[in-house]
Amino acid sequence: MRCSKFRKAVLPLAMETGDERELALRLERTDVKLRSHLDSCEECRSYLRSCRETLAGLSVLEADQPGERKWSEVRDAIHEAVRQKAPVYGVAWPSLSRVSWARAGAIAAVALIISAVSFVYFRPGPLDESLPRALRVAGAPGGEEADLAFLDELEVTDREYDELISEIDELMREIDTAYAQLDIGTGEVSLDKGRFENIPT
Amino acid sequence: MCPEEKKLIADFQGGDGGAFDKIFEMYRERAYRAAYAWTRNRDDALDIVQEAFIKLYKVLGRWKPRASVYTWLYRVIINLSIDRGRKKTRRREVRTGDIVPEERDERLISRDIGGFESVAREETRTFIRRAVSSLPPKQRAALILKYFEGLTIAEIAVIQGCSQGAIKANLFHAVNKLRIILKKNGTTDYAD
Repeated sequence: MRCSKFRKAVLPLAMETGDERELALRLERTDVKLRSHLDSCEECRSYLRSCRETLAGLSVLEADQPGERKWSEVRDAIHEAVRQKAPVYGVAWPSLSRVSWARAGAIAAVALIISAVSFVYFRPGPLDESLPRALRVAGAPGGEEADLAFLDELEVTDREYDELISEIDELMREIDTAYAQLDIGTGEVSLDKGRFENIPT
Repeated sequence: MCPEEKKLIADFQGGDGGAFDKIFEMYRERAYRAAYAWTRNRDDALDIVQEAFIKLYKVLGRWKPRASVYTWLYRVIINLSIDRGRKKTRRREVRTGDIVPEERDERLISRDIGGFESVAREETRTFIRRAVSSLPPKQRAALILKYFEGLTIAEIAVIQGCSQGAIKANLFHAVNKLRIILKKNGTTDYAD
C-alpha cells in the first residue's frame, strides 16, 4: 500500500476513535493491508499521530452551552419575531380566509384598472414634428413657447382622468360596503360588473 | 426522520404551537454547537440559532415528512454563518487592525484569573480558531459537521448538497491543512 493511499484511508479512523485503545481496536478490525502498512511505515505512524493531535486540539473550540434562562430568552425572541413577521404558514395565525382572498383580488383588480388608465393617458406618444421645439425637447408642456391648443387638450384629458378616478373611488366604496355587509352576515356581495366594463382600458 | 420528529411536525401542522418548542429543545444545542464552532462567538452563535429557528417556524407548516429537520437546520446554520462571516470580514476590512472584541476580552479575563499558563492556553485556543477560520468554507463546514456534530459522511453530503467523495476530500484537505498550520506554529502538543 502506498503512503498517499494509506493517509486517505486512515483519516476516518483518526476522526472516529477516542483514545489509543479504541484506535488499536479499530485497527484490528480494519483492513490487513492498512495495519501492515502502519506497522512498517514510521512516516505514516507519525502522520496518524499528528492527525489525532490536530483533531484533539479542536476540542478547545467546543462551546459551553448557554443556560436554561438564555434558551428561554432565545425561544421568546423567536416567538416574538414570528408574531411580528406574520408568516403565511404556522399556527399563530389562521390561514387566509376566502373573504380575504376575494378582497385582495378586488383590490388587485382596481389597482390594475388604475394602472391601465394611467398608462393609456400618460404614455409618451411619437414625437410630433409640428410641435414647437421646446415641447419636443422637454417632452411636456411649459414655458412661453407651449402651444395653447395643446394645453387645452391636456386640460380636457385631465378632467376625464379626474372623472375616472372618482368613478373608481365610487366603485371602491361599493366594494367596501358589500364586504361590510358580508362581514356582518347580512347577505351576499353583489357588484355591478357593468361598472367595470364601462372603464376604458 | 425519527418518529418523534415526525409526530411533532404533524402536531405543529395540526395547530399545536407547543410542538415547535419541543422541536426547538430537541435541536437547539446541536444547532448552537455548529454555529459556535463556526463563529467562535457566543452572541453571534445564539443570533444564528435564533434566525435559523425563525426560518424553520416559517417552513414547518408545509414540511414534507421525507426531509429531516436537523439536516435542513444545519444547512441553514452553515449558510447563515458564512453570510455573517462575510459581513464581519467586510466590516473589518474597513477598520483595519481591529482585534475581534471577543478574543480581546477573553485574553484579558485569562490574564486576570489564571496568570501566564492560562494566557498561553488562550493564545493556543485563539491560534487554533484562526487556523480553522482560514479553511475554505466547504472544508470548514465538513470539519465542523463531522468533528463537532459527529455526523456521517452521507449526512454531511446531504447537508452540503454534494457527493460523499467530495466530503471525504474536503475533510482530508481540512485536517491536512490544519495539521501543517499547527505544526508550523509548534502547537501540536496542546493537551489542556
